[in-house]
Amino acid sequence: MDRRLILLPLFAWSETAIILYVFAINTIYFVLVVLGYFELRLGRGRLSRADRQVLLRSALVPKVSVLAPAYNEAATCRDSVRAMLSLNYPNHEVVVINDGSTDDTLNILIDEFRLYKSARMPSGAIATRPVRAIYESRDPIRLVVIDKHNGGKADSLNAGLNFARSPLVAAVDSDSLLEPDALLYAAKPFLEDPERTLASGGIIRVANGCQVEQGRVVQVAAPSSFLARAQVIEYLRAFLGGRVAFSFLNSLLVISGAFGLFSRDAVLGAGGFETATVGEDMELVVRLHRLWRERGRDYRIVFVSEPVCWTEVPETAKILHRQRNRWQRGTVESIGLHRKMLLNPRFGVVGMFGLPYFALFEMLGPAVELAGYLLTIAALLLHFVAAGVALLFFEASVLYGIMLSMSAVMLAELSARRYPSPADIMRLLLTAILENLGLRQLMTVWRTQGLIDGLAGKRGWGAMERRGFRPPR
Amino acid sequence: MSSGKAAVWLKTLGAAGAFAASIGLVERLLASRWIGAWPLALGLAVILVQSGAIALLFLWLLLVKAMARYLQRRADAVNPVIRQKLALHVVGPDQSRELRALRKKHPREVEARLVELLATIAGPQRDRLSALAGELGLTAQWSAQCRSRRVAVRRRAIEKLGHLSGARASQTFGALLSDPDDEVRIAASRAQLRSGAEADLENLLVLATAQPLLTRALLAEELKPFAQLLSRRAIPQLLAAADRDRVRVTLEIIEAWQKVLALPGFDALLHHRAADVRAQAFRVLPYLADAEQAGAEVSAALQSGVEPVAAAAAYAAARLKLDCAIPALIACLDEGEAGLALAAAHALAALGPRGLQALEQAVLRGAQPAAPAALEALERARIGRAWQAGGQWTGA
Repeated sequence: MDRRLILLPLFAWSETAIILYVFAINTIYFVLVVLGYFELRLGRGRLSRADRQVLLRSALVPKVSVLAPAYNEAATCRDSVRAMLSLNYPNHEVVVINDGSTDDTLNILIDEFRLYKSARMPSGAIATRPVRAIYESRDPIRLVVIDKHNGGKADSLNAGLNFARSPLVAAVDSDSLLEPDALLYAAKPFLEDPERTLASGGIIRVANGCQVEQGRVVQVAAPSSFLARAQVIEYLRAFLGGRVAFSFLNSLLVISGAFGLFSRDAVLGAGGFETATVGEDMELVVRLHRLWRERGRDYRIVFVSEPVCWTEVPETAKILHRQRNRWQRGTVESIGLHRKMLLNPRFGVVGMFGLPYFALFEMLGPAVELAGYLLTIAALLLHFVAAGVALLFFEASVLYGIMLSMSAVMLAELSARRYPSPADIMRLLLTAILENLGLRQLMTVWRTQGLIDGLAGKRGWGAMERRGFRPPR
Repeated sequence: MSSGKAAVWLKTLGAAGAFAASIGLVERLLASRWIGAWPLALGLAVILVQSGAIALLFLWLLLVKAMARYLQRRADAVNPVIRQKLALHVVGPDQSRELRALRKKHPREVEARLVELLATIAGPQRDRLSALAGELGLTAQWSAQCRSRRVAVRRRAIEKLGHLSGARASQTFGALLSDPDDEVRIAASRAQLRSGAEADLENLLVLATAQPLLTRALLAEELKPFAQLLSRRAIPQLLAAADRDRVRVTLEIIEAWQKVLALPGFDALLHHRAADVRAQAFRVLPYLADAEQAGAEVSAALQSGVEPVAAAAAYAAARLKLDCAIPALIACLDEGEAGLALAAAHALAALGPRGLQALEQAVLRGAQPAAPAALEALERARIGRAWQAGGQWTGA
């Protein structure tokens, strides 16, 4: 039998399905980006300068413990801890968890902050890798350093939870650069509704290319590296179309591990951060949704557009590959652990929209898109489809993607106005075009690999090289 | 669904609808004439419409940035002159004619500089500038803006009116204290505060106790300078309320103020039927005059078996240096859960040699959680770090 009689319709239907799928995902994303933009325009997150100044004096503002896991952070730990200690917040402590660093991280902290071994008692009981010692400062600064055996980020955060003593805990990366008012803004939802609020997250921005002094971003600029600029676009798209929109729909599933604020009681009650996944940030948030909905309790998990955290993104393909592989595995693991929520009306909008969206588009999307590329190329070579169909796929995926990226850049700039230089905006817009012509396809391959690895149960973080922030220009 | 959320949905659906309609139109009028196959024509229409939207967005962005730069340059050029005229008007020669002329050409800058200066002066100079605001039509403008549907406009208008002296806008503030929006209520409260009238301050304290924590924190801090005044009547009335949440919240505000107050009859709150109120009352106790007489109540609370109350009583014992509470604190250290043991340990560390001796003995006995709690407290005492004011030790 002529194989073409079987393969031709198969190719045609597959191609049509993929084109519709890619078109659908981009359209939904576009609607979410627009929704995110209008939500941002309401400006609900903002605190006036007068309000901030008053809150900074108020003893009613709940205390925060900033938990910062550190692994081989010798290059940046001094500046980042100092920056965390000097955040504008009326009452906070910094808890650095040295996760078995093999470099000089601990010694640098001991010398810099005059630490001594303290007898601080834990107040939590989550099982973690053994803690070797607790250090506090002889100076009147609220710094605690936990030195423990290596156990990974989630394990470190759990150790931090055990020794934290504040009703709110902020989980940050030790190389995250928080804007001075970031904690205050992140705490605002807890002040507005302390009974219901379980967690809040803020915008993560790319620090590459920015001028950093003593742990603070003092001048914003677009990165010079193309890879880093492409990630700026990606982050803008994700936050506008992902976080803001999902928070609006009360189905926010991810609070970035770079900066998130949580109710300590809620996290302890949920069992702490999951150590069996590399996506502990997403997994915890999904678990909080699940537990609170199972208990029938009213709650909210909120994205606040004002607290900004700057972070260094990978500038080499190798590290970027590892990161995206890990993120995809984290998504697979988180969805897998809570798959009973999928399309389950008991879990409300999270079960019926948020998690299915993530499963169908974020988790499976790269594989579908990759299949589309391969199928289109194969079909063209075998003359199974007309050039017009291939063009349609190209339109649905690449061109539409370019439009989405450019829209996100401009909507983000209109609402937040973060890049003062028009030249930077032009570079970002150009990157938005180029990003979709090669890099996006490469990331699709990486993410598909991550999906496969996740389904196969692969573990591990891989090394993340830290270059440290560049000195002022 | 709140009106804000509804507005966001409407705008999004409107934008999405306009997007879809534009695509349909472009596909029908243009794309289908160039390309026969409808899927390709539709795809082309999507690209054309989105490109058009992006081009418009881009132009809008450029316009917004250019406008912002132009306004900034304009303001930089004219602000020094406006500031000089306002300063002159405040101290002597009338400048209202010149300022009226300036306002015609640079209304935003004149308004901004006048508000800026109003916020920094008081007394007759503020009166003079407030009168000028009236002459320039700004008072009427701001009063009208207080009725705007946009929250940001209402709030800014109230903030500006709040700087004016006299009763020029107090009626407006009173009405806005019950505005549905938090930010507007806060701005109105702040503006009302500036009047300093006792009745207004008492009303604001009562209002604060019924607000969410954010509003309460802001108002409480603004009312702090008037704590003594409020302790005469308003606070005792609130503390005698039947609503236990209101009582607790009032106590939290007093604790946040950290001012010594005389509150006759406060003892009754140490025996309140609600545990959370009792606990909060003990946390406030160190800030009361003659609190040292409450040794018996503190000891009784330490032995009550209600952990939050006992922990708060431990804190009070430490702050008030109540040696009589040492036996009860030792019992809490030996028999309490981790949170209470820690609170008791830190209290003992603040009570001199007897307390420190009790801690050393607890360490030597090695029982859990007394020993680690005692060790931590001893170490803190050795390092010389004082018990943090307001420290609340929660259990595991």
